[in-house]
Amino acid sequence: MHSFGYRANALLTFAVTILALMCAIASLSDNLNTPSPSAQIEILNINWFQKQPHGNDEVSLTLNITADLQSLFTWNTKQLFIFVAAEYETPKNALNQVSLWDAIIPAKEFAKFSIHTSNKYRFIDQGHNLRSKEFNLTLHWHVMPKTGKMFANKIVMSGYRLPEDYR
Amino acid sequence: MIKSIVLTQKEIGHDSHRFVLIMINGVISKRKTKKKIRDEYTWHKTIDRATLRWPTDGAQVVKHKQLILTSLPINCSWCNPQTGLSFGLEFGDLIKRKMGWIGESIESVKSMKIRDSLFQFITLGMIVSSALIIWKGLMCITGSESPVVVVLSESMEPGFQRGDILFLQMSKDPIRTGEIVVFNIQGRDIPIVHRVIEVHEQRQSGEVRILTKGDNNDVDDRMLYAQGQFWLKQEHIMGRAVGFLPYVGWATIIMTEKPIIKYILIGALGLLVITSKD
Repeated sequence: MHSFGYRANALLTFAVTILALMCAIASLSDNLNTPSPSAQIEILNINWFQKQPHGNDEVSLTLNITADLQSLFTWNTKQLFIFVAAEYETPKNALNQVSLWDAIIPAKEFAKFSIHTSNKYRFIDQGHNLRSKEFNLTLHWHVMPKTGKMFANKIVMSGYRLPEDYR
Repeated sequence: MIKSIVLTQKEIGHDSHRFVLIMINGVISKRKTKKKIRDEYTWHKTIDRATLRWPTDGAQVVKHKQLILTSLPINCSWCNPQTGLSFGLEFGDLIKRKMGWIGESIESVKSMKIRDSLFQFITLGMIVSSALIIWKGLMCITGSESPVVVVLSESMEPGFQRGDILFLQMSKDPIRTGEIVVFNIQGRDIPIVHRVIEVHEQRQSGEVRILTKGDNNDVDDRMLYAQGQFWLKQEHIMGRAVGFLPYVGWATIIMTEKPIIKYILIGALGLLVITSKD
């Protein structure tokens, strides 16, 4: 009854319960944080814009991304995954989301930045609909917690337009 | 010759840890927990300490394992002198004195072992079935056929490391870029956990074409897909990650990589369940 095994079992059960409870509380405490992130994306240059041999449009951009995401960090935040996606409609597709650039922010001190970059992933359409196409640039962030629930949100910036001709 | 039986109830800690000491002729004969006593004896709750004087001819064997006191002492206030049948005793020592050790061992095999092993069998069944209920319940709630997955590769570092656990959900919401999905590729038996970087949703059918990439990989996943496959479709997706628990999956990884440990662990647990008494 008061054997070693019994006590070890009781201790282990208690420890696991407490640990699970602490993880749950840590995850829930993220809800108390009300972040106020801000971001701005500027298209500095259309590097090139062409139709691929098999018919898909591809464009290369240079972007300037400025953001302050410091308020997203809490004590349960392991890292922030951020990316910029171009979103647009075409006659065939109700929604196209193409990721252009992404980054991992490991700590709060790197969460306020301004970066000058060309697109990291290829911006290719499913077809050839990109000429004078209006599109949104969206900064998404995914909060990866140390433990618990993952959060995601975005800032949509609209009113970008691609040139009328290939170049 | 039995002259006296002393039953002493001792309380240690909370309710479930009660002792009953049974002394025969002043020698401690048995220790039993209160729980056992209640099952096997008719035990009066209010009594704290009772002394029974044992009349030489006052006890007789009824139903060959039960000793019933027929003439009861006056100082025994907790039993009923009128009926004379208020206290059933059943323990090895007395039986041994009456029946000898062969009878006792037959008795103990007959009564205790079968009941105990049945009880342990049921306990084991309860553990297994409750684990199954939790798993199937999670499947129902999340809508995913495997609601919990262990991260096996390093392709999502530093976000997810080998041995972390992901909770999956399979909701009706359309899949969007940035979400971490678990997908199955034809011809691969291990599902992959990667992030969606491109989505094309068709206007007419509502079907999606998805491209994924591991955060830690340099290129997208077209290389991983089946030959000639450029996009993932909805049917490949097993679920999207909604929650995260670090390190817990290491147990699974160790057990799949070193099966001996798994067998040792299962054996030890089984042995513990079978041999445990309380």
